[in-house]
This record gives sequence, C-alpha cells and structure tokens, in this order.
Amino acid sequence: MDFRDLCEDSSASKIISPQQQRTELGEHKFLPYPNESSFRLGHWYWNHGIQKSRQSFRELLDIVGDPKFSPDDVRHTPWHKIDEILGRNDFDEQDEGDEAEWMDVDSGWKKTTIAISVPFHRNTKTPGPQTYVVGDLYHRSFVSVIREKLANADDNQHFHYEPFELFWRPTDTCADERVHGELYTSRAFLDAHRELQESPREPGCTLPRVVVAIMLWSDATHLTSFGDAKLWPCYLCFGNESKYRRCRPTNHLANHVAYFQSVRLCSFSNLPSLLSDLFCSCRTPLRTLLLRI
Amino acid sequence: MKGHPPSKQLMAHCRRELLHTQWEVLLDEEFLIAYKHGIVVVCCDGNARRFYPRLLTYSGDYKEK
Repeated sequence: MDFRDLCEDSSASKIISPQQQRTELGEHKFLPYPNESSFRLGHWYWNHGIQKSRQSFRELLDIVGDPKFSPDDVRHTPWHKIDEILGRNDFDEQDEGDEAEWMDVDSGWKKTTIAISVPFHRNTKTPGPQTYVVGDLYHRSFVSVIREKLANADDNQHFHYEPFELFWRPTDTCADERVHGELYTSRAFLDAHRELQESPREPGCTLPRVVVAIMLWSDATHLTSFGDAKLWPCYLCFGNESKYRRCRPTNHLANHVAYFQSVRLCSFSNLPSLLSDLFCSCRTPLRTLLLRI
Repeated sequence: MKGHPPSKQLMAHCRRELLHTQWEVLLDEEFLIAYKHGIVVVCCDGNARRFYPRLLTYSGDYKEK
C-alpha cells in the first residue's frame, strides 16, 4: 500500500492538493499517515489506551504544543481511510512477495484456504450442496510448536515429563488427602500416561515415552483498535507446565496456533437470492475430536 | 442481498462445517503421525525421549451452535 493507493479514494484525492501530495510522497516514513503531525496524533489515539487519563492528556498537549506540529497538516487527514488501511491484513491481499515477509516474521505459519459445503433447498435456483470459499485459516503446525517448546531451555526446567499424585497431610494423625490443582497431577493426565506406558512400543525403540498434555483454548475477541476487526484466535498451552506459570503473560506460555475464520452474512453475498426456507436437513457426521477432559 | 436471510439452521450448519473443516486442517497428517508414533526429541538435559501429544482440554466458544 503506498500513498497513491491512498489517494485513489475519491474523497481523499479531492481534499488533498497536488502540492500536498508531492510533499507527502516524500514522507513515506509516516505512511499510511500523510505527514508527521497526523502520524503523531494517530499514534496517540491508538496506542494510549481507550480511557482518558491525565497522563495521556499531557501527551496530547505535548504533541499539539510542539512547534513542529502543524494544524494544517492534520486538517484534511483522511482518518477513517487510514484506520481501514491499518486494520487490513496486507498479507491477505498482496502478492506472494509480501506473504513471504509475513512468513518470515512468524516462521512456521501456514495459510490454508477454507471451503465449506452449503446445502440449498430444493426450491432454490440451484438446489443441492455447493462449495463456498470462506477465507484463509492462518495456522501453525502443532508438532513444530511442541518441538519449539521442548527445545526451550528456560521452559524445560519447569516442564513435567511425568504426572504424579499430590497429597497433603494436614497433621501426622490424619490420612493423606489428595490435592487437585494442576493438570500434571490430574487423573486425566495420569490415565493418559499409564495408557501410553502400557501400549506397544515403537519397534526397536527403548526411549522413555512422555505425554505432551495439550490444552487448547479459543475465544473470539473484538479488537478495540482499528475499526471493527475481530479475531478468533486459538491458543495452545502445555499441561506439563504449572498453571501458575501459564497464567503469567510475561512467561509467554500460550502459543498462538490458529486464527479461525467465522461465518458472517457477508460471506454469502454471492449466493443466489432464493435463500428463503433454506434449512439444513442433512446432519453431517461431525468429525469428532476425541477429547478427554 | 435480496430475499430472506439464511435460516438459523443454515447458519448453524455453516458454522459447524466451518469449524470442523478448520480443525481438520489443524489436526493434520503430521500431528496424527506424532499422536500415533510419537516424536523423538533430544531434550535440554541431553536425553532423548519419545513424546506423544494428547489433547487433554479444549475450552472454546460454542459458535457452531
């Protein structure tokens, strides 16, 4: 996205004079903002929280009180258009060159186009199931996330290779009391561990066998920044690590593994208009995930 | 868009299809092989172990409802 693209918008090109455009084309470093003053205001707006504070007010005063700040520069800034540009994922739309950049930044991310089958009622123009592309799923290989985790020396010392039962003895005369709290002391983990140890070994392999306890978590998030963008991330945590470590954001123990696509009405903008009375009678067999909770 | 909006059932169907299609991508061949045969990793302590991923919990939105 360069400044010319920005100016293709009729509203933007009308209000920015050619002279301004020339100046701004030389100020590529503030793109998509046309100039430094606009950039600083935009930066203040998006990066200083959603609630006003005295601190952020002072920062605003610093910006507009700076001798370099030019009110003329921000008078015609196409804010809405700029926000749209900021909110767009360039790697979704650009050529492969840009995509390679995205791949570099977060190595191991893959993009898979997701298509689903949509059933049409017999009274519609085109009855029967039809395939529709919903969008791209960005995802990481679970196996590479696991390998990365096991190679991390800092995390490794806190990684439980084996589950165990935890007991508490309040006093010497009391019976031991089972304590529940961590996944690696849970029955589910112990059962999985036992099953694995009792299962036949890989031919010729005598290595210790370890359960990697995967905990998945997904929650659709409405982003407060950059317009109405929504994300539906999926995180992967390891139950071999303590919840007290996992819950501290600074430990970075939740791994992003996917950003789900969700169904929106606009996904169907290319459907025939005869959507009335469409109902699905076909219950597709669910690809059941065998989850032991 | 002309006509009536898609029915609740249709939307539920699409949401379900979409989520399960995406999970089919995530639980790929590489993961299934690791699930079945394990992956050998030389750990930070210098010892090699065979690791088997197991999905023990999944907490998520029930959007396919």
